[in-house]
Parts: sequence; C-alpha cells; structure tokens
Amino acid sequence: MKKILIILVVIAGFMTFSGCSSELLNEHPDTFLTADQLYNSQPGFESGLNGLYALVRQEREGYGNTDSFGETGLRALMNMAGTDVYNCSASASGEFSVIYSDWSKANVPTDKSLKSVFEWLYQTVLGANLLIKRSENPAIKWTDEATKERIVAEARFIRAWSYRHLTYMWGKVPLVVDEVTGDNFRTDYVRDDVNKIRRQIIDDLLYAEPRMDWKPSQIGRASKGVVLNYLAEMYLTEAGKVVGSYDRTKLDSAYLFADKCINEGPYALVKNRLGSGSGSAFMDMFNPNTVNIESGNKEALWVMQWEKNVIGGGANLMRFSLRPKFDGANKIGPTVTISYYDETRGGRGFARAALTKWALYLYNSSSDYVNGIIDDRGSQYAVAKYYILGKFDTFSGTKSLTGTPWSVGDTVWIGCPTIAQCDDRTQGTITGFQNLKSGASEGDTYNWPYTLKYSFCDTGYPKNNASHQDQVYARLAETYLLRAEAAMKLGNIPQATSDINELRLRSHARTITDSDISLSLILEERARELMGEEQRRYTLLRTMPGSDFIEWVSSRNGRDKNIALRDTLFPIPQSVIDANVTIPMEQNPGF
Amino acid sequence: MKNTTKRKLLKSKIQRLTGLIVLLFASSLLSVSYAQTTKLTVQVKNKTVQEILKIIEKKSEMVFFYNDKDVELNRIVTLDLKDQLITQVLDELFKNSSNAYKIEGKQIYITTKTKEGLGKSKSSIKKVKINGTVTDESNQPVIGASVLLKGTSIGTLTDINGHFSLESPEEGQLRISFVGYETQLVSISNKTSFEISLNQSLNNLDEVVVVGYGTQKKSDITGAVGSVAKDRIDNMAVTDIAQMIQGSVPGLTVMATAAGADPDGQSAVMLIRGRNSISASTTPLLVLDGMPYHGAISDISPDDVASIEVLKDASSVAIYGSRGSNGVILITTKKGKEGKTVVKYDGFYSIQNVANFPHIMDGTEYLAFKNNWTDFSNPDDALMGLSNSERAVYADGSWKTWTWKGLITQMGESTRHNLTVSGGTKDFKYNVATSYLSTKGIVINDKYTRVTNRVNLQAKITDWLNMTSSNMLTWKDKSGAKPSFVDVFNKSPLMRPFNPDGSINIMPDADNEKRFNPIESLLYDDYNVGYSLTSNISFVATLAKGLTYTLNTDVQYSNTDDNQYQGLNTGAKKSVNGWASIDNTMKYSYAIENIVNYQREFGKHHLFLTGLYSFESETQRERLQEGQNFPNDLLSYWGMPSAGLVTNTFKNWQTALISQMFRINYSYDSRYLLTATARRDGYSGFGANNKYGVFPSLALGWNIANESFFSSIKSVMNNLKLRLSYGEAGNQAISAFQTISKLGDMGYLNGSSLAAGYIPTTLGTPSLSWETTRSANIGLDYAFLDSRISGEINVYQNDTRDLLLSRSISAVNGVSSIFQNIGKTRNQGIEFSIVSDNIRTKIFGWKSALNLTLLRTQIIDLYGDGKDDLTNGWFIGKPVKVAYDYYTTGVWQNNEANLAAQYGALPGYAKYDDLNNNGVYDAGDRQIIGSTEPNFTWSLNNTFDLGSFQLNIYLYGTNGSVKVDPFKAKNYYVSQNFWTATNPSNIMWSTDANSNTYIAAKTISPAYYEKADFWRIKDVTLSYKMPKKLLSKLGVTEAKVYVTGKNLVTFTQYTGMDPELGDQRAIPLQREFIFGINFTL
Repeated sequence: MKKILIILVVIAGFMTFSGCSSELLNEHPDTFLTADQLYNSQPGFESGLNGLYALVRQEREGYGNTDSFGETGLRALMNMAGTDVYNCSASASGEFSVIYSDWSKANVPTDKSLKSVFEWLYQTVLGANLLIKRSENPAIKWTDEATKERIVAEARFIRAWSYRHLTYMWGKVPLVVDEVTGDNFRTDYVRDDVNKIRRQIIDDLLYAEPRMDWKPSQIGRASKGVVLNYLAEMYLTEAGKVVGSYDRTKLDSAYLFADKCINEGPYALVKNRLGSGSGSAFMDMFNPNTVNIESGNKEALWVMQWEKNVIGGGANLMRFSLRPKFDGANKIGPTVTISYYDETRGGRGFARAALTKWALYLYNSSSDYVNGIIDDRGSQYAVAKYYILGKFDTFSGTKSLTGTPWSVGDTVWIGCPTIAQCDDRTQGTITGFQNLKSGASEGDTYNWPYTLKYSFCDTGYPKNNASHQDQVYARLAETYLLRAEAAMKLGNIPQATSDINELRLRSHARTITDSDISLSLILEERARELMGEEQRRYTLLRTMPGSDFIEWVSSRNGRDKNIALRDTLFPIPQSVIDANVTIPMEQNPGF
Repeated sequence: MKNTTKRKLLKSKIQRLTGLIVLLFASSLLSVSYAQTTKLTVQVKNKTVQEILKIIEKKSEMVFFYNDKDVELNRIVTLDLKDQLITQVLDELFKNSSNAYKIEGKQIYITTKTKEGLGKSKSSIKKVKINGTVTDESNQPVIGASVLLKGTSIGTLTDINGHFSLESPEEGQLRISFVGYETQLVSISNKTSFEISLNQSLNNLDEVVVVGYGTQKKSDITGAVGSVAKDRIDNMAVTDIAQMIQGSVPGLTVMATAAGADPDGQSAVMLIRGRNSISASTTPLLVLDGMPYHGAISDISPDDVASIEVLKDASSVAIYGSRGSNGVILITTKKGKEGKTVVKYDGFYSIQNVANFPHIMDGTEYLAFKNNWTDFSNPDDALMGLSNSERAVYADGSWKTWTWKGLITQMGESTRHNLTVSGGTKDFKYNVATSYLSTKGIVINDKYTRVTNRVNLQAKITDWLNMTSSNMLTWKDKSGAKPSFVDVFNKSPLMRPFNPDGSINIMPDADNEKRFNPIESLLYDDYNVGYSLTSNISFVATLAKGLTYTLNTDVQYSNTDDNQYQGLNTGAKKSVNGWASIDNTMKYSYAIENIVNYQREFGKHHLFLTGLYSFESETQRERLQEGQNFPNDLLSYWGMPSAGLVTNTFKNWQTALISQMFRINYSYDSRYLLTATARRDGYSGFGANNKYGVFPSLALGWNIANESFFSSIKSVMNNLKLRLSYGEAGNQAISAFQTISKLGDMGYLNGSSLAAGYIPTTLGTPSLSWETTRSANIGLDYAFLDSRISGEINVYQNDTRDLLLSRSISAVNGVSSIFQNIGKTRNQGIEFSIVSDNIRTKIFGWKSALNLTLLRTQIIDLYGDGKDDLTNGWFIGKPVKVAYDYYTTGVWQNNEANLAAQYGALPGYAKYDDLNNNGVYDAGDRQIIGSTEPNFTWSLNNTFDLGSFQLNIYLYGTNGSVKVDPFKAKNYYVSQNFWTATNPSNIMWSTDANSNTYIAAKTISPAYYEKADFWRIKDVTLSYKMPKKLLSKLGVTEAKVYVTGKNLVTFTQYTGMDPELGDQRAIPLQREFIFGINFTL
C-alpha cells in the first residue's frame, strides 16, 4: 500500500513539472518595454517620438561624465568650437577642447568624445528607423492617416537631423534605414557616398515638410519652419562650394524653401522688447521668461525644453561650458578675485570653450561707437564685459585712473591686460575689445568675455553644472541668412542686402549696402547674429573648400594649434573600424 | 570467512559511513534497562530465525551478536506475540532450539544451549571482567570506539568517558577500532584493566566524500574532487568561508578584491581551474546541503560547516549540467548525532590593523611637493594645487595636531560567539546552532554584524521513510557610511577637518567647495539590513531492496533594505539640497528535485544508478527610489515624500531551469570503476529554439593497488589509483532577458511636464544558448607507507566554445555591444597535493600538507577571424585578463634631454617603451604587460603537536601576475622618490603637472605596473587543549584555547598596498590577532 502511495507521489511529481515545462521556460519581462509592446498603438508612437526628441536635445547636454555638481562635457562643442568663433579656451582639459587645443595630437580615432557622439547619433538613427518601420504595421489603429504621417514625418526629420550631423562630421558613413535587430546586425558596413546620404536627408525632409505643422505638435518639438530651414541649408550644401560653379537649380530650391519659411510661416523677427528692464529685443529671445513660442517669441522655429526637478527634465550645459571659470581662487587679476557667484552673475562656469578675439571684434564693424550706434548683438546685454565688485569678492591695490583703492560697487572690466587697467573701460571691453589678450592668453580661463545668451543658472543653484532653462535651437534669423546666401549665390544681391539689413536694423546695427555683400560678409554676419548658437563648423565646411576652411579657421582662431587639411573631417572611431570585422572599413585620410 | 564470527549490524552498507554511524551504538550503554522495559509485537508466519532476528532489530534498538555456526538460522518459526518483553519474545523464539541468549544492554549474544549455558561456549574457558579507557593522541576520551574480543562476537562500545567493560576469556586479543583512527590489537594476557591510546589513521581511503546528488567512498571516486582539509574547517578561526578555503584545494583560486568588515564587500573572486568565460560569470556553482545556493557565501556561518568539496572535472560537474563548467563547491553542514546532547561553544575576540601603510606626506612634505610641482609648468598649476586656505592652515600649524589617517582609520575589532547544541535518538537527530559575529573595521563607520541560526533535523518516520531538513536564517547589519579608504592618501593634509566648535567642517578647504571632508560620511545616514532564509526538506523512501526515491524541496529568500541619506548639511549633496535613496531588493527561489537511486551488488559487480528530474525557479525584485531637493534634514531618507525630484527604478527578473539527469556508477571488484552521466537542462534565459542542452561525461578509474600483482609492494605503496575523465558541462551564467531587445526610458518634456519617451537600448539575441566546456582530466591518487604520505596529481585541459560573449559591434548598428555565442578559450593545468606525516611520536608530531596549482589560460578565438579585440583588451593566445598598456621604463634623465624632446617630454618625465620604435608614443606602443591573475598558486600547511599544544602555520603564495601600483601618481600624497634635477631618480618621475600624462595631449595616463608575486604567512594558530582531569571537575568534556595571527608577514617586491587585492585603493587586508576559546559540555 505504502509503496503504491510513493509511486503515485513520484508520478505526480513528474507530471507536475513536465506538463507545462515549455511555458515555464518562456520569459515575460515586466519592468521594461520592448518594441513589440510600445509600437502597437498611436500613443506608443508618440512616446517613441518623445524618446527621439530627448536624444536630439542631448546636443546641448553632457556625455554622462559627472562631477559632484552634475554632468560635464558639452556635446555641442563638436560643431561650435575649434572654429573661427570659439576656441578651446585656456583650460583645454576636457572632451572636444582637448582635440582643438592641438589638432595634430588629439584628433585621433581613439578619442572617447568622438566615439560617444558617433554612438549617440547612430542610436538616434536606430530609434528613428525602428519607429518608421513599425508604423507600417497594418494592425495599428491610427486616429487618422494625417496623424500617422505626421508622426512618421517627425521621425524622418530626426533621422535627417542625425545624418546631417554624421555627414558634416565624418563625411562618408554607412547609411542605415532599416530596423536593426539581434538577428540582422552587421559586421560588414560600407561607408556610403556623401551625396547618397544627402539625398536621403533631403528625401526625409521633403517627406516631413508637407506633413508637419507650422506649429510644433507639442511644446518643445520641431516645426515645419525647422524643416524648411534645413531644406534650404541642405540644398545650399548640395549646390557646391566653389565660387562660379554653383548648381543653380539647387540654389533655387534653397532660396524657395527659405523664402517659404519667411513668407508663409507664422514666424517673424523679434523687433520689439518681449520683456522689460534693461536689455534688448534681441536678447529677450534668450531670456527664459520669453524664449518660448507661447511666450511671444515668434522668431523661434524650435525651442528645446528643460526643467529642473522633473523626470525627463534634462541637464543643459551651455552656460557651464561656454563661460569662464568663476570659482574659488579664480581671478580677474592678481589682486581682484571674483570669488562669489550667484544668479545675477549667472552661476559657475567651466570654460571649455571661449569666444575668439576675431568673433568679438566683428561687432566693431557693425557698430559705430563714436556716433553711439552699438550693435545689440555685441552690447553689454549680449556679451559679458564687466563685473561689479561685491562684498564677497576679494580685492586689493588701487585703480589706475583715480589712484583710489578698489571698493564694492566698482566696475571691473573683463579682459583687461593688467589689473591696473581693469577700471578703464577703454582698455577693457566696451569699445571694441581692442586690448584683449592674444596668443596663449586668448580665451583666458578666468578673465574673458562670454555670450550672455545662456547666462542663466537655476535659481538657488549657482554652483551646479546644469541649467534647466528652455533654449531656442533654431530661429528665423538663420533662415534670413540662408536666403541671403542663396540670393547672393544666385546673383540677387539686393535681396541679400535687404535680408542682412533686416537683421541689422532689428539689432540697431549699422546697415550695409549692396557693395558690401560677399560670402565673407555673410559668414561674419552669421557669427554676429548666431554667436553661441550656430553649428559653425558645418557652416564653414559647406561654404568653402577644405584648404580655404583651414586657412580661414587658423587665421581667425588664435589659440587652437596645428589644424590641417585632414581635420576637415573627424576620424571614424577606432571601435567602429575594429568592430567591422567582416570587411575593413576605410578611415578618413590622414588618420 | 568460514569460522569467523560475523557481526551482524542493522544496515551493513552504512558501515562505510563509519564516522557518523558508530556513534549510534554509544547510546546502548546509556539505557541498560532497555530490554527490561521495552515491549514488542512480533507476528510472523513461517519465517526463518535469521529473518525474525532482523525484524526484532528493526523494531527495537537491540543488536544481535552471534557465530553463524552456532545458531540455527534457517529454522522456520511462527510467532504471534503482542506487547511482550524482549526476553519473552526470545524465549519463545528459541524454545525447542539448540540456542540460548544473553542480553547485555542493547546487545544480545546468541550461543548454543548444549554448552551448559551462555558464557561457557568455549567449554572450560574461564571468564573475567575486564575494563579500560580508550583515549586519543591528546589524551581525550574516544566515545563510541568499538572494543571486540577478536574472533568472537563479544564486544562493546566505549561510553562518554571512553570507558568500556566486558567479560572475556583470560587469554585472547581485544580489537579496538574507531573511525579515523588506526585499529589496535591488545593482548589480554590475564590483565583486567587497559589504558588504550589510539593513533589517528592516515589512511583516508575509506573516507566518505560528498559528491553531486550523493556520497561516495573516496576510493570509488573517478573524477577530480578536492576536499578542504577537515583540520582547516574545524580549527580555523574565520568569519567567512571564502577565507577558509583559500589555497586549501588545488585548482581553486580565491582572490580577495578588497577587505573590510563586511565579508560581502570583500567579494572574493573564486575560480575553479581558471577563467573559462570572458563575459559570463565565472563563479562556481555553490551547493549547500545538496541544493543550489543563490545567496551570499558569507551568510553561511563557518562554524556550521561539516565539509567542503570542490568538484573540478567534467565527470564530477557534468551532473550539474548547464551550471557546471565553472566548477562546483559543495558545502555540507553539521548534522545531529544520536546520543547524549552535546553543547559546544566557540568564541573569539580579535583586533585588526593595517598590515602595510605607505608613508603619507605631512604638511611640510606636502608643501614641498606642491612647490616642487610648480618648478616646470605654468603658474596655474600651483594655484590649482595650493589654495589660499591651505597656505593659511600651514601658517597656523593646526595641521600638526591631526592626520587623515588618524581620523579615518582605527583599530579594528571583531567578536564572534557560536553555540551549537546537537544530539538525538535513533529516530530523531538534531543540530541547532546560533552564531553571532560583530566586526568593527579599520575604517571608521565600517561595521558588520551577523546572526546566523541553523536548525538541521533528521527523522526516521517509518522504517521505509526518512526525512532530513536543514534551515538557516541569517540577519546582517551593514549600516554605516564609511569614507573611502583612498581618502587617507589623496586628501590634502592642509585642511580644516573640524569647525572651531568641534563639528565636522564640510568645506575643509575654504577655497574649494569640491574638496569634501572624507569624515563627513559620519553625517550621512546609512541603513543596510538584510535577512536571508534557506530551508530545505528531503524525504527518502525505500521502495524495494536497493531502490530509493528522494524528494528534495528547497526554498530560499532574502531581503535587503539599503537606505541612505546625505543631507543639506553635507558637502557632497548640499548642491542638490540633500539626496536620499531607498533601495529594497528581494530574491526568492525554490527548487524541487525527484531522485531515484538504485544500488545493488552482484558478486563482485557493484552498480549504483541515479536518476533526477528537477525544477528550479529564481526571482529577483528591486525597488529603488532616489530623491533630491529636500526641505530639511529632519526626516532623513524617510523625508522622501517631500523631496522635490523622486525617481523610481524597478527591476524584476525570473529564471527557470528544468533538468533531467542520469548517472551510472559501476565498479568491479573495487578495481575497475566507471561513472557515466548525462544531464539535460532547459534554461529560460535562452532563445526559444535553444533552451535545452545535453551534457554527457564518462570517467574511468583503476585501483591499481587492489590488483594482485601489486600486493608485493603494498607495504611501501598502499594506494595507487588512475582516473580518466572526459565530458562536457555548460555555463548559462547570464542574466534574464538577454534574448529580448529592450527599450530604455528617455523622457522629454511637453512644456514643463514629463512627456514619457523610450529609445532602443539593447539588441536581444534570439538564438542565444549555452557556452560549453569540454574537459579531459587525468588523475593519479597515491599513498605510501600505510598512507603516511598521500596525495594526488591531476592534469587537465578545458576547452570552452560558444562563449557567452558580450562582444563589441559596430556603433552603426545603433548599439555597440551584444551577447553572442562566439569565441573559444582553453585552460590547461596541473594540480598537485601531498600530505605527509613527517614525525609521529607519543609526545611530538609534525604533519605537512602542500598544494600546488599551475594554470595556463588562453583565449583561442574571439570572432572567428583570429583577430584580437583591442577595445576590450582580449588577445588570442593570452589569458582573459591581461594588462594592456604603455610600459613605463623609467624617467627621462638630464643627459637624455634631446631624445626626450622628440617624445614631447622633459627630463624628469616618465619614460615609456616605444615598442614600435617610431619615435612617438602612440597607440602602437601599448603592449601586454602581463596577466593580472596568477598562474601559480601554492599553500603549505604545517602542524606541530607537542602534548596538548598544537601549532599550525599556513603559508600561501601566488606567482605570475602583474598589478598597477596606483600610488605612483601625483594625486596621492604618498612620499615617493620623486625625480628632481639633483635627485635623478629612475623610479618616480618629477612632480611636474605633465610628467606622466604628456602622451597624446594628456588624454592618456598610463599606469605603473609591477610584478605582484607574493607569499605570506597567512595564518598561525597556537592552541592548547586543557587537561581532561581539570575539565571533568567542571563538567566540561573538552576545552581548547587558541591564539591566531592572520596576514602576519608578506614577502613581495610589489610596492602598492597589497599584492593580493584587486583594488589597491580599497581597504587592504588587515593583520589580525584572534584570541579564542571553545569547549564542549
């Protein structure tokens, strides 16, 4: 009897575990999503888009390196610095600043910053491709066809945005437009021709243009205006950069898309003050209180969103990286130490990049100091030129003009060559920056003018690296400059003159005449207007041949050393070449 | 055979389990009146006398002794007796027969009636009463030793005091035996009182060894199984099992990565036969009391351990199938024994300090160091290095009153108490233990407290059903935020650690907010408490002769709360207005095993079959909440609801394993042995079509010493066994969900509120499956001079293919790494062990045990193209873990200025090997400097006995690895022989800011490597067994006091903190002195 019982138990035991064994071995993840789960409804696709926009926003965020005050290492330096407008600054100790400080040494395939930027852009491509491919699933129920197309249009716009960065930075790169999975990932990528990729970029933008609205589908997303702006730029790029042999049909397209944005869109240059108090209409566009389209900034085509203490709030590093250090023993001169920072001084900086003297001097020609004409874009409201001594600052010695001791409330002019001259505005910065230091001292880590477009720290957190104010990422002024460039290249000089004067008049700067128009002038005007905003490296590379680019940059950037022809492209990251095991991937020349 | 007396025991097979079972009979002496009170019911029809005797043995505690010739065993009898005394039953049984009986305690002697009654069977031989005491080498009583009159069935067992008494002829021999001791023959020759001292047996061939899913006699084993020496388990004062097993089994490497109070934090790396796998885990499978154990090895109290076995080759690990390829460590805990209740206490107190401290700069040296630093480069460096505040501190001299070392470190202390109560009856045995450990580490706030309770039970439910259960509950408290040990070395000595009011100054350098005060961790709240529970119950049913069915069930559970708060009053988190994290991790697992065993002997053939069907499930859940921006510090981490920003992270994963296993053990005449196994595993973590894997193995053994031709030399060499094994085992050690592509959270904003977003973060590999290790082992066991010298040699090769490799893929795919089954490794090695009883006299003994492990591991292939993976530092033909870097050859000297300039260096800068001789330092100059893991490990244990004193010295060493000396860098304020213009050191470069980071525009900072070979006097124990006479007055059976010194001396050329540790910046191994006592009631 008992043995029968046992045998029954044994049989029962075996039955229990063999009957449903195949189900027991199936995995059911429940704390993370898979593409199959997310991309089966319209709200899922919207969430996918949010993820893509968060990736795009990282251009103004860090690499994930942190110190005790938050993230460090601004990605945007990849295209802003190492140019005629921004140099590596005297600190030159991190990320892209290292590359620019000596191109011959540090622009190497093993550079970690290059690797992370490359990975980030292709991750964005993967995410966009995933969304685009999954939208083809007929089982998904859409509100209407237009919504589906708008969602796909935004994803294709972001894919175009990614390839735009990739082609400007690396030239030929593999063009991937399909979803990559664990089954079809490749080890045999081939670098596709730049023209082929540009066709894809334009195709994506042309698909997006009619399907996206003038008004962003959500606050913080891109508008049709941005698409038009990029279309104009891509056609200008395609039109070529050798004077006299431009492709006129491409120039026509560029002109038309820019024109459409300016004339048909709801956008307009901000000519009147949006805010109150001291300042200018020009700078009101960057003020966190008035930066958003919803706050009246009609010039904005795309305003990226940040928010402190909110999940998804991000960590903007533009202020931190683009302004001088302002910390502890940091000093204007040996006897004046600005040791205190608060919101009024814009918080702590890290000096990863500094404006070049050339860029600062540009405002001399657009202003007429003698007659009281000061270009708003180079005024004290746009570029930091002085500090007012506070009680927490330490100072000693006497002022050169009066011979009296320094005291609280005195103005200390930034960039003065010696401390004795810091009380003398003519030696300092107000009238044309003429005495700024040169050579190795250009871009002084502690004592150098900086743009005030991002000079906003979080209230109560002046020390923190990150800021969380919304920032304009694309605005109509650039579209004007693109139309001016297309017009000039098409021979329509008066149109170019009027577009530039439109911007100058808004900023109370001197106007120009037709005879002033040249490519150089347009490039300078872009620097004046878009200082600290423009992806300057791309602009220069698309408007001039490589040798001109090298000549242009090295004659205008006084700090960065040894830029050479090979540096018109960055080296493909070594890890990408190493991982392409099936066939060798070619490296850019010179690396 | 013909005329010897057979001593019939209840279960003859169990005789092999001598150690445990012999004690069963000790109890017979404790219940003299048993036969006079116990009543039996015996109802049998037409059974032989032999069968009836067995039935009585089963139903009672009685044991029969008789001579086959004298008893009519085959006489058929029918009995129908209810509730009768044994004497009545026996009277009835032997009625009308030629036999008579006599009862002594629980033993019944059967003889013939014709010889005029009992005791006169040998006619006129005169009987005398003899008695005696049996003791061991250290004069302690031996309980349960068998004392048998040679050639008869007359015998007894020693009692709790080692006493015995019996009636015997005046002439003859006594045979005294006890497991683990050499059997002695003593002539009676008219003596009536005996003092017998047993010597420990050196012959361990009959030892029983735990193997997977059962036990085996050592002489029957065909695989490579190493056991941790029992001496080490019993006598070593340790807080953690990992410490106990280091160096104790050839082929098992235990490497400490860090030290400190918390044994979990020490996270010892355990490798069996090297590192097969590159990306998957290489940790051996831990099996606790027969069931896979998922908890921390440090949760198991070392006092509870009865034995530890290490399974190494394919034959022994293949029965663990997909989890065997990293080797298996079997831990068996102590079980209760029948007999008087034994109460055992073991406790110690220890003090600890850091064995090796480099000289740290004081204020003056620091100032000189910083000033010196400014010699070469731009003035900014000086300002960045020395702040105004530091200058002020130097000037006022306050730095002389304290050091960071003094503030951060302290004398460590550790206390342990362990109490074990065990005992039981024939049907129910128990072992209950509680252990308390409290450690205060050598770094402030480094604390660890652990309480482990264990209840092990064995019950005989019916004569065909047994139950065993082992249960463990551990509570541990690791609360306390400790400063990083490295703060001792990299914090400026010119700071102000305290405010004038004595409180901790959170800005010790008034000029630099980024310089935190390391001791501000005293201001942090840190609560870290965990529980773990392991419980298993096993039922064994005997279904038929030799056939048993076992049902094992096992439940494990652990829960850890780790809550931290760093408030507004701290330097670290004041910038975010306070930060907290509340982390709760729960793990639970269960397993069910069905095992069928069949064991039979057919003449000289012995067959043992095992079949298994099992299911295991493991779940881990984690809830992590992090918050910042607190209004105040009042509620610490419980203020989370009022935090400004709270992020939640949840993890939940589950794995399942379904297995079938079949094993054949066959032996012929104890000469030829065969083990064949096959296991099939299904694992949830693999792709749909690859969930199942089969792992076969075959092993052969040849006991050469049992061959007749060997008998001539047996007196010299008493054991020689050859073992061969070949087979496959797997490794599934990757986490769940690797076959599925994941999306990660990537939120954006819709204005100022969250717009939930997701982006692809990993690519799943739907075809993922096991990595497989095929291994071959040749082993030789030997013993000389009646096992005075014994040991074994193993030679093996492990070939691993289809590695579970987290390989780098092109970032163009959107993700730059993926798990794949790709690549091959090979490990080859030789393991040697020898145990030798060098000197053995009555008063002095010396024993040695030497273990050697020689290992060569190499990557055979990675991606099928024969190419190295520079990104990950994996090289074909090299070990998995190598140091690949620029090689520092010295310092550029003054007379080399021109050459130095070519490399962008100045005299005083570090000089590197220009491997490719191209005149610049570039990526091509990186080279494989060496393996970071040793390829040769040895240990030597010497034990000296002098009377009641014992001295044990354990040496441990490794060779063949290189390690970075991180202190050869300027951010550590350790005094170094810095190069200066007048001190042309070739060891340490100058203090110039760029002196070792000038390669590739300061982006590369090569490390400084040194050989990390070392050997150390790992532990020394001196113990004293207290005299029995004194103890007996106190009611104590046994007592021992001991002193142990650990990590006493290290011999090495390595100049970092400790050549053994993986992380030189973590808390180093402490020198520890332990004072302990243990006694048994």
